[in-house]
Amino acid sequence: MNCSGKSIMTQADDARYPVVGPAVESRTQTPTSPDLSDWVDLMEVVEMLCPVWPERPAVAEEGAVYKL
Amino acid sequence: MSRLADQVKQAIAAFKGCKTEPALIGGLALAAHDVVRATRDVDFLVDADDVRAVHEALSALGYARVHHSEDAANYVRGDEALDLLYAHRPTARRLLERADTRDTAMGRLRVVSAEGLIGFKLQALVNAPERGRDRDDILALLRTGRGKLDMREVRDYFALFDRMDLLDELLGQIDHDAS
Repeated sequence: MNCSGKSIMTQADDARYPVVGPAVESRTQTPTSPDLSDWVDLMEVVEMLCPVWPERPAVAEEGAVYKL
Repeated sequence: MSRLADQVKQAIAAFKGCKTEPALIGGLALAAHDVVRATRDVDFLVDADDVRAVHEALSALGYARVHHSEDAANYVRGDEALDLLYAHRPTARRLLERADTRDTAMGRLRVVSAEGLIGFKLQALVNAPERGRDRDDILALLRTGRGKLDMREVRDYFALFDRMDLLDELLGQIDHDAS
């Protein structure tokens, strides 16, 4: 007997709710706060998870085209 | 507040002495146009007449200039970086002049239009085609700004860089995803 309160997901449910996949949109598509607080909140969480920034790639500008 | 937000706050306070206040461009500016993604890149569009004032302001904040050209500069302070694009051509000057002002958690700052960001992202993509992030950002801006963007201006940027094929491809992708 299954006493677990967890819902049972079928394979079809899994297909509708992929954990990671192309159906997951990584960017918000709804209007965000005009004061950029969404980004500030996001970066607070990012910095908690990654307190030391990875090394930045070297600046390479040779041959760069600027037209604007 | 995050360390990065503090960095932006400090920079915009230091830019107050500029003739024209610099405007945000790059990944962070996307957030002002409803495209939020994590980024550590702090990029500003700076009037070419303000190069010296901005350099002095950033030097006073402890930044070192590691690259400098007529078009761009890169500053670092420990593991923090700040990049500048100099507006000296008519298009960039116009985009800087018309930048929107926002009251944000980091202070009052100016942000380049979504159309202008697409132009700068396209320029970055042309210079570093291997960076898929710029293509993704352009796609997100086109998608989010659908029906609101000045597509004539957007087309002008793609034509300028001879990449109308890319615009067609991105718009086709958006239509496909919407259907």
